[in-house]
Amino acid sequence: MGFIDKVKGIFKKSEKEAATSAPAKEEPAAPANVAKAAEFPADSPINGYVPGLGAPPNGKINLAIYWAAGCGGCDVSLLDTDEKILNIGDMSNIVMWPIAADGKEKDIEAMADGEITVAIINGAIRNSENEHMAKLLRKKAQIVVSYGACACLGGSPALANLVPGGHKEILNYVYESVPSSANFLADSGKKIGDVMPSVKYEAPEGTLTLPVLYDTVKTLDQTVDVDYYIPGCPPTQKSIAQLLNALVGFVYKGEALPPKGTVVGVQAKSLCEECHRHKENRRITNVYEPHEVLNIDYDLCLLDQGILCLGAGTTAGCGAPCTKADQPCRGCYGPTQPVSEQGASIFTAIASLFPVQANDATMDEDDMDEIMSVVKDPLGYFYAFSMSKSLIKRAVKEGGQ
Amino acid sequence: MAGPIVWDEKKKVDTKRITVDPITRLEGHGKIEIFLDDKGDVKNAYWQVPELRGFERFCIGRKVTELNQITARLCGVCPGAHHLASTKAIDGCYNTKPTEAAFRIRDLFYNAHFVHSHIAHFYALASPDFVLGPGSPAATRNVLGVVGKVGLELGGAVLRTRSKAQRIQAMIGGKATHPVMGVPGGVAIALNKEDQREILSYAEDMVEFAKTTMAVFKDVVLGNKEYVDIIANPDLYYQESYYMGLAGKDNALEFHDGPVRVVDQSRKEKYKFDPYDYLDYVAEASEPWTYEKFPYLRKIGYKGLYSGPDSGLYRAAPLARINVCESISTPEAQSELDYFRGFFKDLGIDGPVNFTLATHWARIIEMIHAAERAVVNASDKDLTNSDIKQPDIVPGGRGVGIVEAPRGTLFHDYVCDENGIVTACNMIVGTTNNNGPINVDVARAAKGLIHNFEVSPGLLNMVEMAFRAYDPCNSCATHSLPGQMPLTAKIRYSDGSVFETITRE
Repeated sequence: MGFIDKVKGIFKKSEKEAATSAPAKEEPAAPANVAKAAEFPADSPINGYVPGLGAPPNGKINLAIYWAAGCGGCDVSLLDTDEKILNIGDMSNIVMWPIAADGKEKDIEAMADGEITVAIINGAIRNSENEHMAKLLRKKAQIVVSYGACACLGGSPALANLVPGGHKEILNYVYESVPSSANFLADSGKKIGDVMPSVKYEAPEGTLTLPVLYDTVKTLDQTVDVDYYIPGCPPTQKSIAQLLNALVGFVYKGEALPPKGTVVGVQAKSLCEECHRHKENRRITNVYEPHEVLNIDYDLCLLDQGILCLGAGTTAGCGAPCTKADQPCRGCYGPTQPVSEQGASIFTAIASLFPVQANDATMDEDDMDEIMSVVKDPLGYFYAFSMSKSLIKRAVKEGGQ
Repeated sequence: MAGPIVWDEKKKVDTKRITVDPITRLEGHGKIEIFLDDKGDVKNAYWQVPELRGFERFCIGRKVTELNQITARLCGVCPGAHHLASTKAIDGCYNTKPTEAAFRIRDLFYNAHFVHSHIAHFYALASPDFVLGPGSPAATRNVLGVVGKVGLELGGAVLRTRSKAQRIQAMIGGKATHPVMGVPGGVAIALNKEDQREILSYAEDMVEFAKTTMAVFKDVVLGNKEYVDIIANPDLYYQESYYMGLAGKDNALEFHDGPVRVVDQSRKEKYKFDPYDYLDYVAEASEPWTYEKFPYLRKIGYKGLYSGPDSGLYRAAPLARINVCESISTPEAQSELDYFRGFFKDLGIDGPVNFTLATHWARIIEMIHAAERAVVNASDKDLTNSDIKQPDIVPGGRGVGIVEAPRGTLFHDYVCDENGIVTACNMIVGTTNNNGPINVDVARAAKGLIHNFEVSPGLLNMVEMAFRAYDPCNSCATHSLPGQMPLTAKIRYSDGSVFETITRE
């Protein structure tokens, strides 16, 4: 008795203090009616929580959230829904959470097929554990949502597909070649074979196992059937609100879900159309990096200023936060529909800005090469998030497979 | 209202191997394997990290200016830390430093990042163990249980304040998760007066909230004798390691920039080195049973998984930084540091504080400092200075960027050619520093808690508390969904077949 009441007292006090500077939040009188439940405001970082939403009329749904080869940023984006997160709790039993793996796997295995209503999976598929869990969740879930750039496109981890020697080359580099590891080997006189992580190891007390790394990083839909996609690195709150709205409508009011294959949170136009900058479609005669332009014009298209922005080949939906910060779009929301080759589509868009039309032949191919030679790593730059989905998919050693 | 439940009922098991899988950890998945001897006491325990994405290798061939966005994707919980360490390494590759105005903006961004991260960890991850108790019914031992016990005021204040810290980062870096702030020699965009006013009001709220958090900690944890007994029990969460952290002016607490300082078992300075010399002081061992490496002090050497003067294992993260620093540059945090040291001095401890669970306390002192420092930056009349980029810089050479990530000292080391293409890349990330010590603590806690084949969900949770104190990346944010932190312990016969599954939801 006592300490909890003290905590309550402390927080009540802190609320009063906070109220002086924070924008006051409307506290709707609970309980909210069901119709209200679907109205999550899309744009506010804090508002949108519906107090007393309560359990759905037909009981809570089972929700699984899992991460494969991701970074946790997708999970943080769900946390960033702030108080709306409490409504996810009203709506669902969370039968799995991203940090859960093999142990909880037993419980998932024990469930009937289809017993999970929605499985939200983020991260790419880069090892045997990722693949196994994706397949298991697909089997148990009615709806699988591919969440975030890694699951949808491969994301940053898929840049590993540009390593010609695959997982062996990566392991050798990380455990043998980097200077901190090399110094350990040299100082200790140990051989790499004795310390290299191994999928099965006989410790004195028993066998210890690790998952197998793959050579090629894949998207979720290259591994299992996917019902919905929500792109972004990470998805923005606006996109997440759309997903939650659809789920709340489905769970509380029996509303139909969008057609299978829908990409949630995007618009049928390019990022340029939601970017605040105006375009002059100037011809590109020089390419610059953002740090080389000391005074970026905040209102003018970055391509017009010679900065390689991927917005023209990227779908709208994120609200263009990067270009608002004077940085080019890097394409994390993926290609415009129905384009699937994001990198090539951006190449084309940028090439069209070179002054090489028949009546305007101010530039020959050599000049163009010279400009584009500024882009030293076109694959890494134009496919920063979409390597798994590209036609290129991965690099191999010449003479190899 | 009942107080927290510390102990729950034990059950005798007929097995010599206990697998705790999954556990919270950095980047993805993890498990603990506990092996028992004939008497049912713990022989040994392993903390395994079964994932590798290979960033160090696939960053080679990329443009070096891309690396602060690519490496932010190492971790979506502390992308701000990677982004900043990487940006500093990129500065080095361009043989430049940020302008004064850019440095200030980066510093503001980074202190807001610390506040977000530390709030998420303390409330979403750590507080259920203390507010509800390590042995409380598993179904309530999560942040929803905490909110249920202390009221929605708490939840609202936590979410709102963390949201403000995220908002500051987004205003500076475009997005809080995976920011686009840093460019070589500077930041991408300047702030205006309106931004400054908004940021200052958020930062001031953050200070008040951090102080409130300290009051909560003192009431809930230090006000409960059972917790103090657990925290200060040298047989559970305790090891005499070295400690590492950045050193500010006069060895003050520092997150952003400075030399690296290491103190020994009596809190005397062992090393102080320039970031560019880190390879003379730190190396990374590996073991065949985990993908995570084991950093150690190179001059002492890697002798295996134990701590002491002759073992090179060191710890990083909040407790380490509080042990390493001699002072804190902001008043509220300094007075809390004095109180912290006085508290342990009364227990007869004059050197470093070696009790792992004191990390939670250290984290809140840091939260106060980060918030105070954000106020200092946000109040600076030069914050809106537009001189944010260095003119005429070219790439070519090596750059080393070291910051204190919320979870420990973070090293980024790149080499690029004159075209700006990366030719070598090495990283030692925050949590990795603590890999050896986490293994030591997990084994020690398991040995101290499990005897005579008797285990319980609460005891296994207390084994988990050993690594949770370190806040292994990702657990901070992910614990907070209203579901649960699921945990299943499979108790197996020695042939591997399952005897019993204890599930906590």
